Amino acid sequence: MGLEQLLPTLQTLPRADKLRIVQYLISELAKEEGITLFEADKNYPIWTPYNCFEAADTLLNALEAAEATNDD
Amino acid sequence: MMIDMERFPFSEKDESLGVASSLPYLPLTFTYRNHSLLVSGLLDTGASVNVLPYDMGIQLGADWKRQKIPVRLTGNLAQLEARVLIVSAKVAQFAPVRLALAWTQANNIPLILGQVNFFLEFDVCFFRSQSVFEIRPKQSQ
Repeated sequence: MGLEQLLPTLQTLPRADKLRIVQYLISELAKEEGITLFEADKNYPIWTPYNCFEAADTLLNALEAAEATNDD
Repeated sequence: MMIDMERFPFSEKDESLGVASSLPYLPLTFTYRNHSLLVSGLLDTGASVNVLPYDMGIQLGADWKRQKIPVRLTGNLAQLEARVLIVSAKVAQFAPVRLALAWTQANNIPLILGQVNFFLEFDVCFFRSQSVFEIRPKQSQ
């Protein structure tokens, strides 16, 4: 189906469907450009330990102790 | 004495995504009690600590039961136990340094090189637009 046939059909769609089509087209274009977009309702685990300052303090104390005893 | 920077390329983790998937992974060698292991660590300036995946610690010859100091991590890593492991790390031609790692029971993560204490030991400059980074040992004041 060409754009000429598609446009009249698109015009008849409700607003929500038009927005979904916009989202779909952006996602398709991003894929073609090699850009990864986040998808709705999908979990993206973040493993980076942000603001983990107590753990950082524990590591620094362990290093200090290891240096004092020259141990691993 | 002036110490030269070493330059490394970013690594593309997904060929089909090219530069969008490029990350600063650093090759380095860990040594723990006469065991050496060539590893690749993600330079993560947002990470408070270094994190070692469980299997990498085993490959390095570490014994989980012998590590007595617990570390409490955050985010997805909070649900798993972690313990302190101290290793020697050698980057490029630089002298080895001691790194403290939070050795986690998780495996589905990269080796994370974070603020404590990787970035306390090395100065790093990122040139993301050129997909390279440069690194050198910390300079004495």
